[in-house]
Amino acid sequence: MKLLQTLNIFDAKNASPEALMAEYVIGQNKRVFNQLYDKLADDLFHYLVSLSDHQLASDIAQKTWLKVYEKPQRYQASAGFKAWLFRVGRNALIDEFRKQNRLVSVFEDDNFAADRLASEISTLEYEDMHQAFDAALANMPIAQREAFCLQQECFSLDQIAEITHCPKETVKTRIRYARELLKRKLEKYHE
Amino acid sequence: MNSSLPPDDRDSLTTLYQARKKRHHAPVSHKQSILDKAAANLQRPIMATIAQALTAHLQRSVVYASLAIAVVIVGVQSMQNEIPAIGNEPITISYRSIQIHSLESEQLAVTDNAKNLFQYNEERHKALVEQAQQIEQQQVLRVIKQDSELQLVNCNDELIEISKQALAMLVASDFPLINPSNKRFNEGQLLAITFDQNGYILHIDDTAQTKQCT
Repeated sequence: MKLLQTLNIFDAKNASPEALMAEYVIGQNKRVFNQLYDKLADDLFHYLVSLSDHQLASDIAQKTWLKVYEKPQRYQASAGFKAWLFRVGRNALIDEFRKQNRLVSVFEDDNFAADRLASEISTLEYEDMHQAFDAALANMPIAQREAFCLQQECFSLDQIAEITHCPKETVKTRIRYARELLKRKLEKYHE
Repeated sequence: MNSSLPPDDRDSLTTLYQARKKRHHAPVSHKQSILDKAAANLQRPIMATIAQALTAHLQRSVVYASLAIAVVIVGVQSMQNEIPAIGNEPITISYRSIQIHSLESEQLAVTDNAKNLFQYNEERHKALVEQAQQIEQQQVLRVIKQDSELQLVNCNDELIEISKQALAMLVASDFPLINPSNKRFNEGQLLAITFDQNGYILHIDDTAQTKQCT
């Protein structure tokens, strides 16, 4: 790898996260870590902030990246790096939820939460579609919100099932519920 | 990857999602903060090692002290258990003497005892045999005359078979009698005859004392 860098053959910008992580595991080069961070930091942060709040997402994101920086050997090359990164972040977030006793209320029944959300959304008005989208996503049950966000992050159903420790069919259902809710909320803005 | 979404919805929702992501990007300060924390953590192991060593030393000291205290407590308790509760009375100590025998003296004693026991048993056996012979083999018999021949019967009038030769010997007075002067037997006379184990006559007593059937 060092030889490739010397010859400038290794294209850091176009390198996959897995390739960057493989290089970082070998040399723990700070420059490689920066490249890795620049590639995925926004994705991870948005995922975390979609499931919690800005402050908690900031803390959890830093913890997650610190783990990557200090213990890169924990990454198993057989898994996609982004999926592994999200799984580490999600586990840290759930630990924090447990500390705050928020885990039960956060992962409430999907159907009940969906019905409640539909009634809430119908009573609210927003200036534009983006605000409506943000509000709908923020008020969506966390399990559905998570499944939708992970799908938008280009994870496959299998990867989402692995990250969330859920059966694939459950993931499908959650995504369908999430899309229906968003469609219902955004209908009036299409007219 | 998003094949489960209809194309229209996928495009609109994805556009909205990406727009949202741009509004919620990771703070710029995060990266530097992470690197600072990592640098601080690198320094921490040295201090942690020192603290760990001190803690370990302290732990060892506490463990040793606890063990010493425990040993002292157990020792004091065992002493208290051994000393009898006698109040203000002085402690009296009793002595017990133990005689130690050597193996040689024990063997000699056993041999002597065995010899004595054997001798006693032998003597006692002889006496018993003699007594048994006298008791079992001495019979009081009566002389009767049947078919002009002398016969002997016991006290139950049972005929005692004696060979004619033996009887002839008795009549001929060749047999050693208690009373050698009386060599002739008469009908109705009682005789105390002693037989040996094989049935041979040892003695014939024709004195008056023995002529009794009990």
